[in-house]
Amino acid sequence: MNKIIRNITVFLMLYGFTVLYATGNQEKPAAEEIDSIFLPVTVTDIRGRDVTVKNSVERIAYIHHGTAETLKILNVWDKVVARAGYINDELFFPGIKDIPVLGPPMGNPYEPNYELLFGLGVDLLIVEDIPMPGLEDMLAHLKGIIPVVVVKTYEPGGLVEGLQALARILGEEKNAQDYIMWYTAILDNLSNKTANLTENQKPKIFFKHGYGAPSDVMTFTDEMSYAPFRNRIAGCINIAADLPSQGGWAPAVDPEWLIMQSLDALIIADPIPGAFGSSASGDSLAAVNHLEAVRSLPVFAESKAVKDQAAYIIGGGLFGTPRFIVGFAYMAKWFHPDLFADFDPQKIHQQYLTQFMRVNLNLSEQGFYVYPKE
Amino acid sequence: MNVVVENLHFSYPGKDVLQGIDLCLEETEIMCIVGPNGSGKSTLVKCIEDLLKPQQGRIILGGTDSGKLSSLDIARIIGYVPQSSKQIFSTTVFDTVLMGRKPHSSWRSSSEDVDVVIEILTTMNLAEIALQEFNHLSGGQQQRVLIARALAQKPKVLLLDEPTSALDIAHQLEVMEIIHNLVHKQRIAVLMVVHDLNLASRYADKIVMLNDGVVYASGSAGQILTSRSIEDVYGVEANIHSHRGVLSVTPVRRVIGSSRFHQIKELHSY
Amino acid sequence: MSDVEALLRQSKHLKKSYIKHKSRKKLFVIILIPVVIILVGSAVAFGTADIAFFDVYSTIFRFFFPVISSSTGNADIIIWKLRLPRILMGLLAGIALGSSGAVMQVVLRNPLADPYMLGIASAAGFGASLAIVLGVGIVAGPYLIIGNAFLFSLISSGLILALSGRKGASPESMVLTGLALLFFFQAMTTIIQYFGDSEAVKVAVFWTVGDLGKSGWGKLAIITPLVLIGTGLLIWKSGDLNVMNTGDASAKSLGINVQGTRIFAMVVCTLMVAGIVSFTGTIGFVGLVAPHVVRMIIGTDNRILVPASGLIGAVLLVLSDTLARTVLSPVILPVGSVTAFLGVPLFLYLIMKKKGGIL
Repeated sequence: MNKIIRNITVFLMLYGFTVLYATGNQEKPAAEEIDSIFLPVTVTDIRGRDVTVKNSVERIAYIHHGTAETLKILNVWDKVVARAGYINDELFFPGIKDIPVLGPPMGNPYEPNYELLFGLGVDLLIVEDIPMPGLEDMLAHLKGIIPVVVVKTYEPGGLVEGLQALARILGEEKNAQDYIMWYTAILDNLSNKTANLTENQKPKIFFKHGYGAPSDVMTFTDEMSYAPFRNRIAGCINIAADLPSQGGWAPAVDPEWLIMQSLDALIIADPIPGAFGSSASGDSLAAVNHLEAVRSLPVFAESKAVKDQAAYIIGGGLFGTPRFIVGFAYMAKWFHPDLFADFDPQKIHQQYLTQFMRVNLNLSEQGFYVYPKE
Repeated sequence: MNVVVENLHFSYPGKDVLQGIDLCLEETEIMCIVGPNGSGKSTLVKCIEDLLKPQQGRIILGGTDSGKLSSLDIARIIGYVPQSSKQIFSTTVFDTVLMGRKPHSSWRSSSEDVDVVIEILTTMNLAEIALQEFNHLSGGQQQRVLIARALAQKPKVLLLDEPTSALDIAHQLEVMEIIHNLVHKQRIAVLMVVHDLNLASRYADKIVMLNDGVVYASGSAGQILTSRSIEDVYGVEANIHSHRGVLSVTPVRRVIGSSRFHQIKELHSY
Repeated sequence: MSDVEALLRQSKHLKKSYIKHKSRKKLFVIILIPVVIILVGSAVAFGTADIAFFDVYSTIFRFFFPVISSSTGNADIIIWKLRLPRILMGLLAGIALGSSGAVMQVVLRNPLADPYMLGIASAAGFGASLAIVLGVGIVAGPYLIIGNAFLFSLISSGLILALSGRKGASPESMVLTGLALLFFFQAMTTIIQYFGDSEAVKVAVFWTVGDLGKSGWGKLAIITPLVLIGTGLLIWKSGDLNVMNTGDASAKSLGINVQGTRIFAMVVCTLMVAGIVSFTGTIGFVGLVAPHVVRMIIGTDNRILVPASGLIGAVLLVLSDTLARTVLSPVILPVGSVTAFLGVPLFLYLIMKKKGGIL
């Protein structure tokens, strides 16, 4: 009996010490936190949602690869703790390979790995509004746990607004403003020249997308949100403008129809493994071969575009990310070489890389994004 | 053609089924294998048919070790009637019986093959249902079709695994008569597994009684079907009567069973 | 005496009705051949490009008889380089999928089996992904991806044979091993996608989507002998398959080398379907439904069923593709969904109409 009482006493004493020790530790003031007290900020995102961020954002996650360059523009890449798969360029995004991925590269971005998201203590999740189901479900799932901002920085309709919203939350208004000024100036420059073109002066183009095989003929109609804007800025007519589509996406177009169109220019935006990026060499063989394969397809071989050497390859980095402006610049130059005689899209691209991506990449020596350049 | 089985051993992993079977089946002889459930009857038939490989012992078909024969050679000698057969995609009765001609024909079935099938179907009274689907037939009809298929093989040895189990008495007799006539007309040897001891006593030239994977006794019906052997092998008391030279076996009601029945009844009445 | 006469009369009557019964079934195949030819012939006349009926055929016949005056515009390219290769690829894919589906259902003793059940498509997808994402392959050049897809289909089948062979190559062990490998290769495909660049991943993901648009004469030259010889071999073994339908023990007692036949059938189906998958991706439904449609019409004699399933598969696929090309022209609908759209009502109609069960 005595022994039991003694044991209980010892246990209670030990317990008491532990509690005292822990409480004592807590009472010490946390000096770092006092420095970074941050006023709550509320922004309205592209979906009209009011998003309030109460604390300083130190840990960012994003679930669509288009956001990566946006975060570079805002110069907050070092705050990214979780990311979308799909791109892995170490030059652009230092340390990207070590940042955990929230979902499979080709999966639905709106089904992220929640456990990872919560486990990493994410302060802010940035979501691109893309035409895929599941956004509402995901927002409901994260409500009250992680602040989520929905943006559309991969296309002209949402870039400026998205950058401004993110900049306010992250306290990077200066970086956003710099980019918006640069971007608006280029847009003005392009549209000033193309605005006065008559319909006859605009080339009829086909924007060929696919699944990898040269013979795939997928495209986007003008129902796709930014297609009319692109047509206006680059000064062209999309021959597939009115095709039946799924929200602007036409998964397979009959080559028979294509062969009967008068086609002035062909933009090939196919995925070509290993062809594009900062590490691809200037004469990327994969891309050149792919272009040749497309040009010699029966459907294109006899077209005006191929005969006039007006078939161009453009890498996926130049559309579907904030870099679309560089894509527009190349297209404008391709479609109207006389109008843009003293205009160099590569210079625009170089500025984008040096000033806003802050990467040391000399396009005249390294990297492959379009072919041929003129 | 005669069939000799020598010292046949067969076991499934962890279970010895046949433990040294010897038997000899002569041409124009009907041999019935009898014995309780699990005594190894079907396994013995499957070993002779080459569906199971015995671990030890030989099967000699007309002087040739069956181990040296291909399955096609064996199919030309032995016709086999399984207990039942399930077709994944149902075929007609005619086409099912025509399969029996497979060991003798090539890709195309010849006009003679068709004639053989027609002859068997008419003698077995199956002509009426010849174009019906096998899977839609009753169990008894299916059994007769399977016998017809084995006959279409024109075998020299016929193995039957409980061929009459699903038949009514009229069809039992019909099937047994057909087999009986065939044995002498075409000089074939028949080995069949039967449960019905009366049927065995009536048609068998020789009865082999199996118990626990060994031959308990073999010989004529008069020698084998005794009260003692039945009590030994089946654990059942039975009276044996002889009527016009045919033995009939009548099991006596078991008292133990009925008292247990009463016990169960009492249990349920609570 | 009258008994014997009655028997004789009965057997004569039976022979007559049996021959009638069989010839009706043979007639079905004999009719199907011109139906397929006519269908292919008329499919050529339909398409987005509005080419006059006469021009279509003068374009075709001019190839054989160059004296016929040349037709206008792009008709030559549209007919010879776009429409015909596509339709012929549909024809061959239909034959291969239909006939191998019929055979797979019998050898695997499973009415739900289709040519992809043993993981051919997912293994092909994995092989293609290896080539696309990691650039690893056995043949270099333009056939890197296709060669890899084909090789991995064969590896998958080899694994099934090696693994299930230890269990006596029973249908159950084959189906289970096949399903296991199907999921394994799918998982591997997903996993290697984490190691590729964005473009490669996109290409790999969409590689297996069924599409007849990739066809060309060069590919047809490879596929045609493969499908014709393969189907021929399956028809050759179809007599044995009839017996295997009654179960392994039954078939063995009738002298069939059950294991050998099952392995043979599987190897032939794999070669043929792997070839088709490598060039067109996965086109579902045809291989499952064509054999059932034929069974409901003419029964289960594999000697007629196997070629007839091939032909019905071809009819289904060529017809579906023609609709896919014309309904929403100039946008092409996915051929797989049109096949299901056409095939399901036909299938349901036959199930409702058929007395008794379908199996």
